[in-house]
Amino acid sequence: MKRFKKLLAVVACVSMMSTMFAACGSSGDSTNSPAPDTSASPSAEASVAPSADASVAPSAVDKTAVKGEISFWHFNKDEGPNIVKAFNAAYPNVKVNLSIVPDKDQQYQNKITSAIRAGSGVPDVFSAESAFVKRFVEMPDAFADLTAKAKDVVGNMVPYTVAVGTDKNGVLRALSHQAAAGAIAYKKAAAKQYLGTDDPAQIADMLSSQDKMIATAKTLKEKSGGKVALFPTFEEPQKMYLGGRSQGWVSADNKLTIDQKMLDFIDFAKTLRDNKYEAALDQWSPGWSSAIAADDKALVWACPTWGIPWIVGSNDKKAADGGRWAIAKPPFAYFWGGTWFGIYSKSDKQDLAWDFLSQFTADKDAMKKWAIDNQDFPNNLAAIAEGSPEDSKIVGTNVFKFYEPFIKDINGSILTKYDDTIENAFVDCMRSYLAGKIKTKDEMIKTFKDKVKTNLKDITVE
Amino acid sequence: MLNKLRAGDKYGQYGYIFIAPFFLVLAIFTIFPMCYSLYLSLTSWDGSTVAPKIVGFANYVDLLKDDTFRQAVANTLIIWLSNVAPQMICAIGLAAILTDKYTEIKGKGFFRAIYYLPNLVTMASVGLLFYYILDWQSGSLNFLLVKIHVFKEPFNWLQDPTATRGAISFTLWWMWFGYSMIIFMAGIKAIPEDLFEAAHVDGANRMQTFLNITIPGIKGSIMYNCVTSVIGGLTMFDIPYVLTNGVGSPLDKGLTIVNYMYNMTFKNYNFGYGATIYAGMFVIVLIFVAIAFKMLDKNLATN
Amino acid sequence: MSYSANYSGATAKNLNGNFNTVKKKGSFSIGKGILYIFLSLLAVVCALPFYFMIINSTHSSADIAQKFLLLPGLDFLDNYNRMIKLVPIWTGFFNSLVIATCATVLSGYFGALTSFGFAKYKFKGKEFLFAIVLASLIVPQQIALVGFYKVVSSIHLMNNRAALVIPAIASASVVFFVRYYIQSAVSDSVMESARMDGCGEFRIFNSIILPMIVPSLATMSIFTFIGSWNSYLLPLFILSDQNKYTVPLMTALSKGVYQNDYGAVYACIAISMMPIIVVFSFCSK
Repeated sequence: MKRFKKLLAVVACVSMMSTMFAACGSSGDSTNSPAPDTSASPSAEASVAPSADASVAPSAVDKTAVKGEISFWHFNKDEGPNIVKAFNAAYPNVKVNLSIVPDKDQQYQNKITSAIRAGSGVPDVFSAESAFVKRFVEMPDAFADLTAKAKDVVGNMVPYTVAVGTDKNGVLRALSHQAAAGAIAYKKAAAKQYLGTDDPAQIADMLSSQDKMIATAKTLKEKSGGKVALFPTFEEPQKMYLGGRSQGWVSADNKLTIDQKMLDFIDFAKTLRDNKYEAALDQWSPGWSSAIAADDKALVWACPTWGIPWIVGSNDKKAADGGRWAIAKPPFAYFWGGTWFGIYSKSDKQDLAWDFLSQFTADKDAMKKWAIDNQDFPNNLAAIAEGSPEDSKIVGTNVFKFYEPFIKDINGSILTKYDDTIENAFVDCMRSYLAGKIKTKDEMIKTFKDKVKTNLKDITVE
Repeated sequence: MLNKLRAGDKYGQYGYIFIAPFFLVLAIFTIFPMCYSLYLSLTSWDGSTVAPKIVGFANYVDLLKDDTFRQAVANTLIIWLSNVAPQMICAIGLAAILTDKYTEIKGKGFFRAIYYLPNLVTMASVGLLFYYILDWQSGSLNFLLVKIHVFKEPFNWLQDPTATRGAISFTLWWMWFGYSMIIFMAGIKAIPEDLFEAAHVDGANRMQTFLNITIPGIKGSIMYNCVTSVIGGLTMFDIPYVLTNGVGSPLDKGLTIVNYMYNMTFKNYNFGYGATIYAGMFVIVLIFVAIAFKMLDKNLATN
Repeated sequence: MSYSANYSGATAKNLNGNFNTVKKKGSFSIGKGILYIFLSLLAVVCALPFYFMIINSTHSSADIAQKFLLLPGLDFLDNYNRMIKLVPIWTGFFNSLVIATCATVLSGYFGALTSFGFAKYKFKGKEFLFAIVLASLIVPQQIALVGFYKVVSSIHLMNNRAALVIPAIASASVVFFVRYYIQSAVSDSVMESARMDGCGEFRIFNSIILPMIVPSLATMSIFTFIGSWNSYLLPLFILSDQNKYTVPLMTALSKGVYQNDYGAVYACIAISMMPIIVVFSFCSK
């Protein structure tokens, strides 16, 4: 009992101290509060400094004469070093200090958020993936205003990528070097054997609507004796439906909205699971990876532009020989993934950072070279229109030409800064619904809304 | 200076000197962050450069009405209780066997080392390892159970609340019984050898020796293990995090208090409410630590 | 839940049963045989995942994902070569070794000093201060992170390895554990006689007490070293220069974003575990 009293005393003491800290904490933070003024300064600086515009025109400046040092953070070890290499090929005298911070459990985002909050240790340029780019686009003091600097180049970009990089007040803050338009990748041999054709146009037709996908899945299951499912996991079509919505999860007046696409998807996924039309693997799990390399198991993968090397190519080593995979038109235009880049609003190297950023997001020739070297898809309409110089070995198609018709239909305004949390809640409810733990669709939607309400207190849920 | 009543007090100032560096560092790196959290619990803040806004006890009012928090507390207690009891029994039994001079077990050192092995790896890696083992369609456990015809079809372990909690408990037991065992062994070794010899000469059997000499002799270790297991168990994070996809799936049945707090802070960017969950947890842990102390005081006093 | 409960319940019963049978019969008995079987089974349960980890590091990524592997393969060097191109693991080793060693030494010395202060001196507010030590055990790293970050950045220790070492001075669990050990293992008479011989208090600690409490310090040092070696969250937040990354950060790096190169990851994990196994097997003696 004596000890217990002492513990209580500790609690009392701690809570007393906390109120003390509360007092000094708030006064301490008020020293940071002139922030709103400074956040406007980068754009002001950009408009007074015409030199920024000059650096946009590649021929006007001698890139080898530009000297300096900037810091750059990326979460992807497969991309970061290559970007630096490509940049240094044009700007040999600029030193880029690259740090790769894995985004395991959102830790890359949190590290940057912490640094922005502390106002020190933030890199001059940092990347953000589609899943969390909006967080930094909307965050005060994070990305600098690029509107003035980029005004001559945004017209060349795929419109949806610009929409993603623009905050809710219409200020452009992040740019992308790639467009991640989606298609469908399928295994040619299995398609030929069980569906009677491996022709992209015919396959696209078989998958052109929800009903047709289900009919195709049924045929496939019957012909293969259950060995081949249409999808490896319900998460494949989920990526398509998410990226093909017409409205985001959260409306302009901060209300949770569930797009019709997602309501359709709930039924679609249930049908897939109940009939074993999907192989119930987890996306990115070892089983899922090995299903890509296998000849059977599943037929169709959601395949954005980067998926050709990184989903198909890296998991199926034989894919590079050609003839194993093909891509077909998706049932509707969608996008999945992609990486954006922005300049830290308080970086003292705004111009140099812009040289770096514009080199791989606005310079057509550099972007095209990057796309060819890295099997990527450039975010540059002119480069796309020229087509790839040669067909992709993995899918046997001219990738630029193939994706070109879908990119203009993509809606980039569907991303919100809440997506990570909302989609996690959605998947969790989806899994329980598919496993039969939640009995009805209505109950599933209600559970989902409750979860969103618990997790995001500033959103209205009806 | 004050009057010194006892001889010991003359050296009392050295006590302060010896603990000073510790408390200086503790104040900077632990107590300040802790108090800062408590301060944040009185605010509404998204972790950005915009200063926290004081909202008084609004977060606490929300916490009392929060079903998810209650669910998280229940989950944590269930998981903790179902692994701590087997863990302690296992650890104390093994420690007694492996330190007993009169039971000639060969390879004591080998067993001791191998039981401790699971504690050497990062928790997140252990979690991931078990996650892969329990995977529905491609995990080794289902692979094995289907092969030896226990199951006809793979069982979806991590979509079942009981199985998920069981998996977390088992993983924690697997990881920590060796650690507890080592602590108990260190305690037993500190018991003067002649006590055991005297008991042996007097013809006491192993059970009597265990109950009358070993248990009272390792009071400190028992205290240490109980308190650390309360704290460790109620603040568990990595393993449930990995096994429940980071969100406490299925449907919050695998959500622990720290998971909830972590997600609220670092995923939902609600720093104020996250800190409030922390404060709630702090109170719960303190209550349990106090209970542990009280029970031990009582039990050990009677021995 | 029921699985583990039943399992452990059974083991507990076995244990007690064994106690009784072992003592009644001679040195060779059925009871002892059962005891051995039980101990060995438990050993297998503990070692199996490690076995798979090491086995996996010797196979190609494709095999790891597709097959149930029981025997070692021949791809370790391949995996290693791919891994070493992605992550400078040996630099990570050096960093981890420096950080973990410094942290262990600091926590051992100052932990022992603090425990000694608590165990052998009487001063005002002692129990209260000790309760604070105890309470500080309850701060989960995950939430203290926000305040910790604030502290570290305001004293300009960001991206500095010292920020991961200095906090080890205040290692509450060491104090908690060693205090009880000193109380039971060091008698007051030892100190009295040292004082008679004219020893100062610091010398008593450094040359008499410290050697006496080596066993308990060694136990705690193993835990501190392993804890520091495996620490992930704090180094990730503090360090941003890749040349300062520790082994767990390197392991996370080896995973990549899209690519599932399990061979390289397992090679990395297998290598990263070697030193702690070595440290453990040395110290456990």
